[in-house]
Amino acid sequence: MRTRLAWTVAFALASLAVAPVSAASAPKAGGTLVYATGTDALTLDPQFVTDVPTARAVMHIHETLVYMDDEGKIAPGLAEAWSVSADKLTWTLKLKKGVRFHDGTPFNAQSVKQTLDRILNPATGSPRRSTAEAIQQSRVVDEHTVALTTGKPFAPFLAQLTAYNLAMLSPTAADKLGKDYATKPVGTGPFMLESWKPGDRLVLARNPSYWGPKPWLDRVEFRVVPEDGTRVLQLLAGEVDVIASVPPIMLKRLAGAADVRVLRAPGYRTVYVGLNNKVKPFDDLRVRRAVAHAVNPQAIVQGVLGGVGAVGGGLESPAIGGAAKGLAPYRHDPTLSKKLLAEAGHAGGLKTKLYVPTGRYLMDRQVGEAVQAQLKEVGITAEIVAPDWGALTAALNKLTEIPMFLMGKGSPTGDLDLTLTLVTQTGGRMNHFNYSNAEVDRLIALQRQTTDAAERQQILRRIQEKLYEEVPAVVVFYEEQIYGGRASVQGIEVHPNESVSFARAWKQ
Amino acid sequence: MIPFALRRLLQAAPVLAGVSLAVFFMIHLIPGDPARLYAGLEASREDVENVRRALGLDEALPVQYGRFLGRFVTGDLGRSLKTGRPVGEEIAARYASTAFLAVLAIASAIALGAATGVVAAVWRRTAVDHAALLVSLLGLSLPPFFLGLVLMLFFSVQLGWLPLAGNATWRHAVLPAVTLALPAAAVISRMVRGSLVEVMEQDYIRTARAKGLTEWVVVNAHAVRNALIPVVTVVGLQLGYLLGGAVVTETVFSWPGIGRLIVQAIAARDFPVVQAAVLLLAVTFVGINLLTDMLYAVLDPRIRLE
Repeated sequence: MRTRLAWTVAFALASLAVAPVSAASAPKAGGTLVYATGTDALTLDPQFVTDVPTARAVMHIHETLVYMDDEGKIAPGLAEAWSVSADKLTWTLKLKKGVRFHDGTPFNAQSVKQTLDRILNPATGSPRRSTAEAIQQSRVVDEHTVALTTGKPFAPFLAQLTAYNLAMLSPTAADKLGKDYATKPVGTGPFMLESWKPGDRLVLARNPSYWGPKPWLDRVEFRVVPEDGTRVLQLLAGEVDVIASVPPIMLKRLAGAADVRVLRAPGYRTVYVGLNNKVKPFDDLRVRRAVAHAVNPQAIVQGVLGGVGAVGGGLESPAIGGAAKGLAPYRHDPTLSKKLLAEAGHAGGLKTKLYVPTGRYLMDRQVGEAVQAQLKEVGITAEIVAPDWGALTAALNKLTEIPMFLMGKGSPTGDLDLTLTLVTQTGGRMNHFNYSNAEVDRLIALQRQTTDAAERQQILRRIQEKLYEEVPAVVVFYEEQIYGGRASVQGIEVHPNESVSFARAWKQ
Repeated sequence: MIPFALRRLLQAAPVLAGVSLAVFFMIHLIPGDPARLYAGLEASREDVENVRRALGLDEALPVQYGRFLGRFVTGDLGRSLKTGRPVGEEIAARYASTAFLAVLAIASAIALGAATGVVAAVWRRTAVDHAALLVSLLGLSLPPFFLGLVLMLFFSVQLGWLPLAGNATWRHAVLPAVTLALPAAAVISRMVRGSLVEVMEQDYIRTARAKGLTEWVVVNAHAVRNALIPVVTVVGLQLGYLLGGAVVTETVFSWPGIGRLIVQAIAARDFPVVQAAVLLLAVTFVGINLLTDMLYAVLDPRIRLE
């Protein structure tokens, strides 16, 4: 289902190697695992989740019909088998039998239908209604079979069902509780909510009647520890068992400590310098290429991020299934960059603004400053502007105000359709580059309807190569996820979509 | 005193109305669309509009404000835009955490500040006085994130006496309370010293000494009480600030207080929470000012509350 990664030993930090769990140590049942995270969950209603830390809590309580494994293959979850009709419009899912929600309500075709109908109902007010919008109709075939119909053939259909927004919730609880479901969730997952004190801690208890392999742990406690340094100190002192988002600067400290290990895992997130393709001077391809040749991702990953993160040229992280492999970053070549600028009529250099978020992505502000310094070398003077997230996104969405910006994009479903549609299709919701290419748009629409996997890969590859040539954005790095943990903790599962699971974790 | 208190509370009503109006329109002036922020960058336009309707943000601002006021007077604070939880619940728990810490901090600050202040005043212009000045300056100038981390490293990491962060037990409150108390104690200490030095030079103190009273009685029974009025003012102000939540200290020690809540709510443009929290803080300040004034009359019977 998800790849299990062992803690890499702390002194081997420099390598990216992740060793498999040694078979010698047998799991031990019982105990409470304390997980310190920077941000609290906002809601426990899957249909209202819009951020990763919230999803991590929600997905211990709830489950989706299917999952995506690390190779980008669909694996069974609450649905054990599926098939698609000849016209590619109706997906029939066979559901697992004998599964019950935490409140005793049986999980069946009716609960799938009700869950999907709930998110699609505008009155529910879900901010992620569109996650389910491909589904035109859900129909109960029998107790354990459900048929979902789409309006058009939709290749990423199963990947879409892995989205946390489409996790199954108890129809009894959802009907009864309405908005209060957010604090009283009832799913089918390996853990159940025990207590929640917002801003402080969320306690999950083992679901004793879980349908799958029962969790080893009695309890998992999500603790909110906003300060990076405090989390590291707490881990070193043994006050907590696992910490999220270890800042690169603290890695050395952890490496030198006994009983503490570091877990590094690749992620789907790409951090890039976006260029507004409709605003001067970046409407000129030569200028965009000049920026690509001026930015030195290798130097940023080594110098600013302390070696955390991977370098590449493709807009999609190579960790995502279907990402084009082998797209190297544009060669770091300030001379060529200056030449391109001169050809575009900027021999005397140019002035622009670089907008950066603060605290949103790994060392974002510092990465922005490094980009600024590298651009300066070729004569591009970029003034850094760092408004708060609300103001930044408002300005980005105007599409005319911001010439250059540092942004990141992840992928909750691990299917390229989602990110390509959002980020690179004309008018895409996160297409802050204002990029528009008729051929790319056509290919994006085509891949969505191409259900043959190999053929779809070909189209996806063509789209990514086209984007690589046209440089709507310069890729800086692919984020790497860094957790710290006590050496006694085993069996944590980290997925490149940034979810983390303690369902199979145990403490020595 | 009771009619005075009632009158003052009534006078506070327009102050609070003004605060609520100012906060409401100020927060709408900051760029950033709450519906978009809530739904996220990747949300479709329809999703954002749907959320806007569901949250009642599609109406004109004066209508929204009127609606807020209407609910407010019936005791309904609405729901947080960001979490969907009732604002009252959200704020009550955080305010209780903050109040616990604030009371602990102000009590320690008073004890520490009064003691060092009195000592410095009695032995003024001696080494003790200079030492007290130095310590106060230090207490005032150390930024809380630094002070907090130093305390953590020493008492939690080195000595292992206290937990690093969280708020599960009273032991968790010690370090954040000390972090908050030190700067407050420094201010109180300087104020006690200054005020006491002034009082000690007055004629009635000379009379008391001439009567043959011991210095102990002179200071504690005669001087301190009269020196307290400016001190009470300062303590009131400090308590007000502490009850407003200390974002940095709350962050360093993972204390789920109201300061962090407000900062997060502003970042998310979560109007109902910001609105209610700021009003609560305004009420707190009004209440503390009222108590301070009433305490004046207790301390000095010549002061009449009219």
